[in-house]
Amino acid sequence: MKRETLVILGVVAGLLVWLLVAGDYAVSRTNRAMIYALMALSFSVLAGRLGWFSLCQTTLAGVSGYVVAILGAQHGLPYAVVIPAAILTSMLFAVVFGVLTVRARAVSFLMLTLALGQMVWALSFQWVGLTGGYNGISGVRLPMVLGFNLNDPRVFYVLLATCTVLIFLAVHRFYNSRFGLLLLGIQENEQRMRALGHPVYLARFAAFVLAGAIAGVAGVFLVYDMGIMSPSPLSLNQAVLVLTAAVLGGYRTVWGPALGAGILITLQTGVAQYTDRHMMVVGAVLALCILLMPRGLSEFSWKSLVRGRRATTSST
Amino acid sequence: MTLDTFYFLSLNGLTLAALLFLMATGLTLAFGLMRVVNLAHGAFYLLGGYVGVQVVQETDSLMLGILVGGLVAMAGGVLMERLLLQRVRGLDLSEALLTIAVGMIIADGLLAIYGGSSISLPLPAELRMPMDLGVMMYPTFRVYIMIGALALGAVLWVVMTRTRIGAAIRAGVDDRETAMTQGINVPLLFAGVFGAASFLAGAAGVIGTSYMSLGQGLDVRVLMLSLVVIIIGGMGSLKGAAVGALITGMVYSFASGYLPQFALFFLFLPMTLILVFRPQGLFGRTT
Repeated sequence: MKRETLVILGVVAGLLVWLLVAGDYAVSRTNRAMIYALMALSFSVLAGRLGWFSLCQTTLAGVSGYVVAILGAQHGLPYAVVIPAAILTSMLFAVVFGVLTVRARAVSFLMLTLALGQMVWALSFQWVGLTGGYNGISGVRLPMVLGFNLNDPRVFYVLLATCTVLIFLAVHRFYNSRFGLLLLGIQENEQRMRALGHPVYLARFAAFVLAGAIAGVAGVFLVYDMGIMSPSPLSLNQAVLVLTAAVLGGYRTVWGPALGAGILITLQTGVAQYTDRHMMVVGAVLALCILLMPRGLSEFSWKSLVRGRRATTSST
Repeated sequence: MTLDTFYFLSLNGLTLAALLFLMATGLTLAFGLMRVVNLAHGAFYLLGGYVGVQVVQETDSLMLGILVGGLVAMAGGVLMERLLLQRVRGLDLSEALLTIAVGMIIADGLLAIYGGSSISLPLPAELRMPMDLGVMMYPTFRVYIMIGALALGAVLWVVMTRTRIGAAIRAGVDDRETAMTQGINVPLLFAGVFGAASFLAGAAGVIGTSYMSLGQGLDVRVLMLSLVVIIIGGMGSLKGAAVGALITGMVYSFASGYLPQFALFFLFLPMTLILVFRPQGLFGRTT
């Protein structure tokens, strides 16, 4: 408990110092990195606890973003309605996707989430009346609260950093809870957990919806950060970006996704100065991770690099 | 609805089904034999398509274009299998993730080389002419696509069930070690199968360009459609790919004819029903 408190204080102090020393551009990139960290966390809850690699967590975030854009920017509903509605819609999509995928194994799950996610992506292009098609919906803004303009990157940073730290903390607690351990048990040995009387499908389903809620929160921040909602956050590129962040940082630990998202966004920002080919960089990073350190930086050891190139990504 | 519309939508559905079969067979073949889900399949389609169409534009020979498109994709597939997938053999999730990474790199590379504008296939005049099918006139090339898909299905079926190569492949899948002790070179065989599957993706990329033009994002759409087809039909089953393609093609064609804005929803519907009531697909084996 003592160590946990120290780590939290350290992180909060680090985030505050960064706010004071970083320039405007660095702060806005950090905002983006935190949003991706949340999406990578949503991915990692499923990948690390259940061995389920999902390619639809960005889709769930995108759905939430569209709800914010449609209800908030187009219909002008109050924020107290729009934001909960967005997160609930993400969870509702997660319920539907969860029903369809709950019985799938590792690779089939990957395929199913890819197909489902890309259908929603294609729909976001086709259903122009609702989503504005390729052009999307613009003018998504946060309000003034107590004299603070929440659209200002630094004010937004404070709001986003607070939520991000709280969500990561909650997930940390969740991993150590009985439910979190049950999920690990299911990943290790599904038959045994079933024999012990645990509701395996229900537990997986609940984890999927929970991960959907985290993605929904990330989607709300994403759309306010971008100010516009278009189909691109739902594309496969984004899903792979988030997957790469989680694999790079280490999806089995709590802080791995944040580390991976931080590195990847920094890398992208650096690469963007020289070339547009950042998806090539992401693809190369993913391939190297899978070949050299399938469990990511947070569980990286030189010994495994030399000895166990075949160290497992999946538990199967 | 008039009878003419019905015929037209049916023929469009059959053409789409034939194309989907061309796209999905490679994917289902590689999965059925090697348990590898090649998520770079769409990128290989795009790669074969761009290179093949360029060859057609420069030489005016459609056959050469299809062949070159297929061969380029085949080279990509064999390289990926030898250089990358070999290293994580047996870890099916790592294999799938590596294919995604390769797909991303190829698609981004193609975007850099060919740009984002869409490209369509220049067909010779005699193939663009409509052909009299008795019930209505229909573009000749589309009729050829349907015949080609039927022929491909027949050839693959015969190879897999009636030849020594097919028997060796099936033996390698069922029991790798025993097959190797019988003198079957399983790694070579698998590389060959992977190459053939990639060839099909690349060739489909050239042929399919007559139906939907090449462009940014098409790789993902092709991958999605192929996945839908094999989820419906059952992963690894040739028969499943044929039936899945037929269902998907027909549903999509009729839905786009009558309710275009919901075409995708109707595509989603058969897949959902299958997943709920028969998760292994129509002809899939439970593992």
